[in-house]
Amino acid sequence: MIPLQVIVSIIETGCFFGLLAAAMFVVRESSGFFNFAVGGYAVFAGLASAYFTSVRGLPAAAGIAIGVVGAVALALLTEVLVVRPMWKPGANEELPMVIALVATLFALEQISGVLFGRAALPGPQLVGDGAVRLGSATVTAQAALEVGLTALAFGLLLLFVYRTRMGRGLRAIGENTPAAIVLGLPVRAVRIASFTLAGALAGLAGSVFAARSGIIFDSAMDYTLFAFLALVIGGTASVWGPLAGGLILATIQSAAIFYFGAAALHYATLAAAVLFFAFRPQGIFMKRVRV
Amino acid sequence: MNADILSCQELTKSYGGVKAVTGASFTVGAGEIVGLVGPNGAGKSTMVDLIGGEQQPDSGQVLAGGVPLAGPPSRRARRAGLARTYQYPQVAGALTARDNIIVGGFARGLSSGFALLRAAARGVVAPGGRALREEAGQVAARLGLRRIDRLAADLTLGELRLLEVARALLQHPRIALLDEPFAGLASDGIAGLSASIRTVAAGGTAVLLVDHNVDIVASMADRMVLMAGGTVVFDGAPRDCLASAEMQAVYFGTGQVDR
Amino acid sequence: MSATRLRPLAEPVISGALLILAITWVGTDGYRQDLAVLTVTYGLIGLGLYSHFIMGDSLSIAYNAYAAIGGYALGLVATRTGWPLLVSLPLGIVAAVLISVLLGLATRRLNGFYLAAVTLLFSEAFQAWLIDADGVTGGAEGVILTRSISVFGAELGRDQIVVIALVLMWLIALLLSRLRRSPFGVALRAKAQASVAVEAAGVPVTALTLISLSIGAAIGSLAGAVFTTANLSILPESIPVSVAFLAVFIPFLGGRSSPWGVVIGALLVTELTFNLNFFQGSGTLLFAVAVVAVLIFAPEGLIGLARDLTGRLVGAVNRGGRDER
Ligand SMILES: Nc1ncnc2c1ncn2[C@@H]1O[C@H](COP(=O)(O)OP(=O)(O)OP(=O)(O)O)[C@@H](O)[C@H]1O
Ligand SMILES: [Mg+2]
Repeated sequence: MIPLQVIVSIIETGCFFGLLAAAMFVVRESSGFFNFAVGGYAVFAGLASAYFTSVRGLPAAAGIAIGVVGAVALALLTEVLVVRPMWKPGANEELPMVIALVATLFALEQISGVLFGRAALPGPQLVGDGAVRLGSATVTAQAALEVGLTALAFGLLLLFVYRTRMGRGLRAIGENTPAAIVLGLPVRAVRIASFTLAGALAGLAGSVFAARSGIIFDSAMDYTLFAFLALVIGGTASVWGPLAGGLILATIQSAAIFYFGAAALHYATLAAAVLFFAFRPQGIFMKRVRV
Repeated sequence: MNADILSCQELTKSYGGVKAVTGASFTVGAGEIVGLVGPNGAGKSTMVDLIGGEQQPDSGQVLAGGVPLAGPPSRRARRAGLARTYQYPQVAGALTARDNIIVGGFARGLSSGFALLRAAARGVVAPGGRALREEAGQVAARLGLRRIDRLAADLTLGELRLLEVARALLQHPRIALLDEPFAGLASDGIAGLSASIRTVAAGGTAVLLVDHNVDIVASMADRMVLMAGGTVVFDGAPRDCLASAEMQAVYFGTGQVDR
Repeated sequence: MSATRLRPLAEPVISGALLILAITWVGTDGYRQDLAVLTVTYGLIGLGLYSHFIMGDSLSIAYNAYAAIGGYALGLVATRTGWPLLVSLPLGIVAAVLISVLLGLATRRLNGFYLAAVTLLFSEAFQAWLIDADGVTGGAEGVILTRSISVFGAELGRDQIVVIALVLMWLIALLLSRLRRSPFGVALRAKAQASVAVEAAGVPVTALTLISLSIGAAIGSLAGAVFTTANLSILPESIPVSVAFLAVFIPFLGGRSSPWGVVIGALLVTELTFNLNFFQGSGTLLFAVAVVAVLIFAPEGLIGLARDLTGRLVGAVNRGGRDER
């Protein structure tokens, strides 16, 4: 069986993927498309927080705050500069816009590299080296912090989506945007709110989890890819979907590495995706083209 | 054997818990126009999907010329000379109407993996297809579809329906399944379309005509099939159908037909 | 001869003239030859994707794998056997086609970004495999050729290789442009938006898709072959996973309405990444920003932009002419 220590690390990775997937989820809900730029927000936040703490010597909390605020700003910029000019409600032509979001991902990756350097940086240490023994495993303060913050983030997200007017609007608009426009729902305001949330969630993921094993600029594409997979695995039926998907993905990857070595990561992820798509194609079937 | 080239036998299909069709049977003969009518949700489109192969029946079978029809839609089109249109038009908006229509004609030369390979090899040398381009223009003109060199995305719903009929006719079908081709058409479109349907039928094609416009269907059909709640409740001459008690019950509400 | 008779000749003649210009411009200048080789590598990869993605809407993007297969086939056959290019080139093509068909079958129910994600995972797994399987691929060291590839007993010089590469890209763009208008191409483009109807008309769309993927993989494998022949080496990082994205961006940059848009896009990418890369890889940043800008302001790519401008120019001239009367 997998040792308890590995399970602790699976939970950490799962939380990271879950936050990224949740960032993609909120935009998906509000606007019906995948925001592939989220990996870029996370990398920017991670590198910014690492840079300001380890190079500029700011306290960790300030570094993380800068990272999250930066990620939110980038998310809002994405909405204003890319999505608003290209987004056509109901048109089946969202492809160019999503391709533009992928290009944005690469641009953010490079911007992060230019601003904060292309070397890996150690992330900000918000908590000390304290640890608790849990059976045969050690739970570091860092791990506890990550899980705690993830739980807090998902709790707040849950309250927002189900308890606030704007949150309920979020889901209604994602279901059927043309209808929402006809009904006079505040489509743009809700989309801006969802991008803000996406920036905050991805920024939190990037800057808090950077302390685990450092952060480097060219991880943005992998972050986006894993967030997408986690979201597809977990589904969008509930707010817990992204978190569940993140944990499942982390389990598959860690188990593969544990049993077959580090090189198995890519093979296992591919195999898992192919099998998943083959046996659970519901919801990913071709959409009927409506004219 | 009689001349029925299309025969549906006891077809049953449910989607999850919804029974769309239960034990429906009818036939269409060569050169015959059979009207299929019934209220919303009666199961008409489901019948078309079952014949065309887009859906598989839970039980029952479809025969074409006495031989069971099976396999994916492309094989059915090839084996039985089947062509169809859709209630929700399936067209490529980025292509011109003419290019959409012409696919029906090209399909004959693209009917297997091998044929596709050959067509690709030939295509890189000389694109070709001029004769079919002209035929597409003629068929469209007869139907009353004028804006043939516009992008399909710019056409109205009525024009898209004509486009689909033209695409089906370019297949030179032996069986044509038309799902609500008249919906949304202006009067000149109606005239062109009914004339074209009569012409194909006169050429020996079996036509299954689904539509809500009972008057038009009755005026064109040799026989009418009335469906309600997934079953066939009347099958006979159009005049008898219009006068039947079932018709009264289904359309004029003496006892709502339950879904 | 009438104008309509001449029309089919316009494309090969004009593009052929540009090709000759390009070949003369490159000449024997080593730097320009490097530019040309990179343009052809990117161009062929983009043209491969054009076949199934731009025409057929299958976003299958494992192009680093296809190019690597073409490159490694050439390199391995040359270093381990005495077999000529006429064996290794088809070998690479067949291997790439086989992989693309297998991948296509495994993912035949997927479309859009789901397909892109799985094929991207394949790209990463393939990249990992290239390093892992050092018995086959030479691992991280890759394959180094000690002498140039020979054809019919004669070793190819770099000048010849560059000319052949440019001609190859021209030829493939030309052939794809014809394929696009052929029955096969029209059916493929119709399938992109209305696959149900194309299937119902009697075209087996799975076969159609697989063939379009195979055509793309074959072209992608040629890209790797050109790269290896010109650089006399192929390593796992010669063709990184990010090439898969480059291939998607290139047609959008140049214009999707014609394979020539891919050639233009490839030229631009080479210019941006090659010339500006001296400053800390900011070429990639510029390239990404350029893609976003083109997508927003010129949705039909540079070709569409040029068409727009000439259209306006011609319109203005015509109006001017009428005013005079
Ligand atoms: N793909 C599907 N999934 C689930 N239910 C379906 C599906 N297609 C049809 N149904 C259901 O099956 C029943 C029959 O539908 P069908 O489309 O065949 O009716 P119809 O006679 O064509 O109606 P209309 O005149 O509105 O086109 C309806 O209750 C419908 O909701
Ligand atoms: Mg119907």
